[in-house]
Amino acid sequence: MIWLILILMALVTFSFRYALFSGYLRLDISPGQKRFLAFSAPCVLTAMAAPIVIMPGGELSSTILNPYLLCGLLAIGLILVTRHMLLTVIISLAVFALATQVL
Amino acid sequence: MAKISDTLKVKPSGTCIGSALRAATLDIMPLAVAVFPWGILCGSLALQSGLSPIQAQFMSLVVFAGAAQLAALGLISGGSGNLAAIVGSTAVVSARHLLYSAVFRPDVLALSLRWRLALAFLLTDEMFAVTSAHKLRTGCFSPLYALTAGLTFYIVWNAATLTGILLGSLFTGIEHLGFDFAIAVTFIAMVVPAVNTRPMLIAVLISGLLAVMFQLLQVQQGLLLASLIGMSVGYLLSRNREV
Repeated sequence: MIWLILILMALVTFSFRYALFSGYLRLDISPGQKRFLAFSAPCVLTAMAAPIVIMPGGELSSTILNPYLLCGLLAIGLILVTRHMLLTVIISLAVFALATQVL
Repeated sequence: MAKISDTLKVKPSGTCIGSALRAATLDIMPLAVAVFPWGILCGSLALQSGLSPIQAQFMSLVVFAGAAQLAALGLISGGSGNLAAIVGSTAVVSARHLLYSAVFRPDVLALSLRWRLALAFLLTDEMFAVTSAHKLRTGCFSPLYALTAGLTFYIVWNAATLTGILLGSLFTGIEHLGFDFAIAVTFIAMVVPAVNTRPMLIAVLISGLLAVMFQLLQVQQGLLLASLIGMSVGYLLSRNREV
């Protein structure tokens, strides 16, 4: 199953990378399609991150004192202030590790 | 975006002589260093998601797409890892490569099949960034530069993954540190800087909110639906704003 997943993923990523390099396909993307595609990565990444942070373990948290939500908000604040991805991830993870011990 | 439109104006020439090899290696190196921790994360999270060390390395060798790999690992370990959801999310995360290949397309079409396959396989955010900057600087697209930058990045990414696999199998038990949160916080750090217009803000908020709702209601393919609805709303809003 894992092997199948990996091979399909490889085919999908390669197809998107190669599609416009292929001489056979007379594909060309319009400015409108480009604008639509520009939303793809931010939207799908948010759609994956939001449930992890807002409903850890698969259900809505009843308290705001949950490390996932608090550290998720911390990460948003940190990246806005520092604009530094790695720093944001390291600090947020460290605080998360501490918070899961304390809360 | 300004960079992309500038790049499009440069005429393809193809004949670039010079120290493309060294320039490409030097230019991609800072980006390769910055991605190293994510490679480590990818390698060790792969093990914790139930992949064997061989499978974890194989993933970086053939998929070679950090965000797509982390997304898939999140789905596999979360148990919601049905094949359609994983392939679907890989497709949406990878769709941005169409943007990059559209920019290089006029330069690349004249090359042999072997070159086009190699450059497509090595096309990443980072390779695109340095190669289009190089093209802007020199006025021509150098396939050798693109290949060197891409290959350097590929080697570093796989070395980082291997490091993660070795660390991951040395320290068992780091799964208590909430590795689903590690993925979430990585995505937050990637998305927030990209949110620079109101349509983008509304698009990601809708995607996030719908993703939570769909998961609560256990909607099939909720992740894809949430992403596509957010993208569509952002697209419609941006159409009203510009042009």
